Order: sequence, then C-alpha cells, then structure tokens
Amino acid sequence: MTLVATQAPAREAMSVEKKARFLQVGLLVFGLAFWEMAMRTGLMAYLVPNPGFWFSSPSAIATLIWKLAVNGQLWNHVWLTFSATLIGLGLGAVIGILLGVLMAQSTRLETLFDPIWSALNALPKVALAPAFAASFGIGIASKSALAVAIVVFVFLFNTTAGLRAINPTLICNLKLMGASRLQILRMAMLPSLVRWLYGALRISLGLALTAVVVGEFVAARGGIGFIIQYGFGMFNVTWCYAGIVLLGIIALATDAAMRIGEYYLTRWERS
Amino acid sequence: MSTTTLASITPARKRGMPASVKIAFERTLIVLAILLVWQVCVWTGIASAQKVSSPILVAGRLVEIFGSGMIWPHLFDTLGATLIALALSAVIGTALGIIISANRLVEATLEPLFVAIQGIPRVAFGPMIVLFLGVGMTAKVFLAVSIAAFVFMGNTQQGLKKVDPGVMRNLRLMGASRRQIMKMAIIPSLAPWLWSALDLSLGLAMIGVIIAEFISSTRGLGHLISAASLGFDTTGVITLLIVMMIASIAFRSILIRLRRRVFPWF
Repeated sequence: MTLVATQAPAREAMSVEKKARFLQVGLLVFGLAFWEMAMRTGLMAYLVPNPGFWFSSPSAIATLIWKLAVNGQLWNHVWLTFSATLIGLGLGAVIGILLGVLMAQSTRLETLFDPIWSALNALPKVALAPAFAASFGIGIASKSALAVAIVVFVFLFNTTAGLRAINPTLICNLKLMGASRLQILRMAMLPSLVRWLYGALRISLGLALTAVVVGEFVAARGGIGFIIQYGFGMFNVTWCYAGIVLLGIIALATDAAMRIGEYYLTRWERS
Repeated sequence: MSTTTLASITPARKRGMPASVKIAFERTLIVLAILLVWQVCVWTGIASAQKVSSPILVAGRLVEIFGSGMIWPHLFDTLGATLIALALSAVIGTALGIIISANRLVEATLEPLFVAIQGIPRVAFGPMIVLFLGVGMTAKVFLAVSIAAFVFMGNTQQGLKKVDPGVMRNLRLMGASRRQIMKMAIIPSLAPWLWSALDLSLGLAMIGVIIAEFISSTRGLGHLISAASLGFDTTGVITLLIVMMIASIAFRSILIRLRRRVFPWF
C-alpha cells in the first residue's frame, strides 16, 4: 500500500508533463492551421474587412522567408543584426567590466561615482537611438553604440556586485601572504566574477538585441528591424511577421546556446 | 561637567563635516567638474557646440521649454501612458499569473509559450501594434503592457510558489476560510514579489512608451527627441534626455517612498 501511495504522485507528475507536451504541439498546429484556414476560406472576411492586409497568413510568411533565403538577402539582414548585437555586447562587456573593477579598487571611488551611474542607468537608453543615428550614421556603428550604452551598466553593476560578494577572508589571506594588487585580482576576484558575468551576459543578450532592433527601426539600410520597419512603411504586414519570426528564432537560438554554455561551464559545481 | 564634555566633543565635530554632507559635497564637485570640462571644450573650440552642445545651451533650453510650458503636454502624455500601462500590466499580469498557477497542466502547457514570447524582443511588435491601433495613446500603452505585464506574471508565479506550505496547512487545520487563507498567507507572501515587479516594470513601461513614440506619434517625449535628432538639434536632444532622466528618477523615488509607507518591514 505504501508503495502505491508513494509512486502514484510521481507517475501523475510525469503524465502531466507528457500531456502538456501533447497539448503544446496540438495548440501550435491547431493555431497555425486555424490561422491559415481562416484566411483561405475567407472566414475572417466576415469579422474584419480585408483580413489579408491585417493578418497575412502562415503560408505567405513562410513563402516570404523562403524567397529571401533563396535570393540571399536574408543572410545579409540576419548577419547585420547579429553582428551589431555581438559587437555591442562585446564592447559593452569590456567597458563595463573595466569600470566595475576600477570602481572596486576603493570604496571612496565607488561612493563618489555611484549616483552618477544610477542616474545614467535611470535614463531610458533607447531614447538615445535617434541621437546615435544622427551622430554615428545609419550604419552598424550607431546600433552597436546603442547596445553598448545599455549593456555597459548591466556589466558594471554585476561586476561590482560580484566583487563585493568575494569572501573577505580570502583577500585578507592573500594580502597576508604578500600578494600584489594584480595577483589578488587574478587569484580571488576574477574566479568569483565568472558566475556574475555569465548572468550579466544572459541578461544583456536580449537587451543588446532589443537595442539593435530599435536602432534599425530608427534608421537603417538592412537588418531585421529594417525588415519589420519596411513592412510597416509599405503596409505589408507579411514582412513584419517574417521579421518577428526571424527575431524569435535568433533570440531562442542564442538563449539555447547560452543555456548549453552555462551547463558546461558550471559542471564542476555539480560534480 | 557637562560643559567640559560638550567642549571636548564640539571641536571634533567641527574639524570635519559629517560624512554624508562631505560625500554629497564631493559628488556635486565631480558633476560640476564634468560640466566645466564640457563647457571649456566648447569654449576653446576642441568640440563644436553644434555637435556636442554645451551645459549653458542646455540650461538655456531647459528654462525655455519649461518657461514657455511647451514641454508639459508631451511630458504628461509620456508619463500618463507609462502610468496607465503600469496599472494595466499589474492587473493583467497578476491575473494571468494566478490563473496559470491554479492548474499544473495549464502551467506546464503555457510556460514555454510565455518563455518564447519573452525571448523575442517585444519592440519587434511595435510597428505592428501601431499599424493595428493607430498613432496615439492606445498603441503606446499596448506596447508597454506587452513588455511589463510579463514581469508581473512571472513574479506572481514565483510568489505563489514561495507561499510557506506549513503556514497554509496550519491555517487549513485551524479551519480558515478561503478568504482568510488569502488574507493571512497568500497576500502577505505575494506583496514583496509584486512590489519588485512594479519596480522592474517601471523602467520597462517607460521604454515601451518611448519606443512606440519613436515608431510613430505626434506627441510625447519620444516624439520630441525623434524630431530634435532629425533636425540635428543636439541641444534639444540632450535637454530632453535630461528631462527624461529626472522624470524617471522622480518616479522611482516616489515609488520607494511609497514602499516605506506601505510596507515598512522591507
């Protein structure tokens, strides 16, 4: 009896997970099929005039993406957005970490500059997008710069928090053994930072992508934000939907890559 | 006796200012120094006022836009949209969080969907939203809600998971009604989570509103910034950024003050 009682909930939980998987696939297929059928049969036309203009259709979106992929434009757009995001992320990370390490060198420095960082962080940085477009041009530089402006603060705050979280005894011991500033940085601070920096990286990835897309909305000659804005400007929503789908694929793929990376990086903690 | 102690204390106090005053003083000095370097660069011609503006120009513009009152309708438009979006997000997000948490199957089914939606930068939907809802308040609020509501939803789910099961059991054992359990266990445990959601989504909602204003609008701070940069009016851009910064800091400090009033225990 006890065996049954303990096993039953486990089996039920399993089946809930499984049921959820089935429901997910079912909902997705049903949703897409319903969308397509509603557009094909003209069912939507009873609800709104000219539904194709508003809702496009899954087949139209897929066809457009396929067409762009075949004529090679797609890779150009994806690459523009992706490279701008990576450049912004990389530069922002380097600047943010350097600033964070600098601030951690003395409490005086930290208290002095703290309100300046908070004030700058309070600024909605996407508001800089048109200004950056005006001063850095409509190329990749203005998008990367916007990403940097956002990402820097995530890394700055995470670096200072990570450095503060270091066990002070460790630093005392190192000092006692006559370690230099550089040695303390290398032996105590950097290893402890890794986890915090990884957290910062995961947060900033989405933020950098958002920044680049906003930059492309404001002024661009290419990129996924440009595809969406182009569809908006031409009143052709298929382009908008295609851009959203592409962006979703990029976001989910990079997030999955980060998760896998985290799994391997933190393996030593679990074993 | 007392005079001697006083005498021995006062000089020590006089020698240095109180630490907090000193820090504030030094911080002000740093800000002034930065402004001075900026201004001197412009005066000496190292940087042209056309490109980087100058503190004096910005101060003049600040006085101008507030003096003439032209900024107020735009400021109220943006802040109003942000506040409405926050309120709607709180209601919709919390309700969604409660509904999803109520059923294990619903939660397991919809969780990946919400993760996927949150993974896509929501600003991507901006142009679509403007196309559907037109240029104006509705589109701004909708975009902001599409960003901020998820914060409330996620935090509500977390908060409901963190309700102490021991307290729940004891309450049930003592024959508490549904409403009593709600009042005594669930709401107190949820409150800090909702508050942190409010704190997080404040900035996000404002960003959503401003992006919607970039995409297409006739009013609001985002519209003004967009117009100023199209005209290469650096002074205007910087002035508006400062207005935004002050608005967002003021918003946040009001929130923190409110929290101390409403929830003095955290």
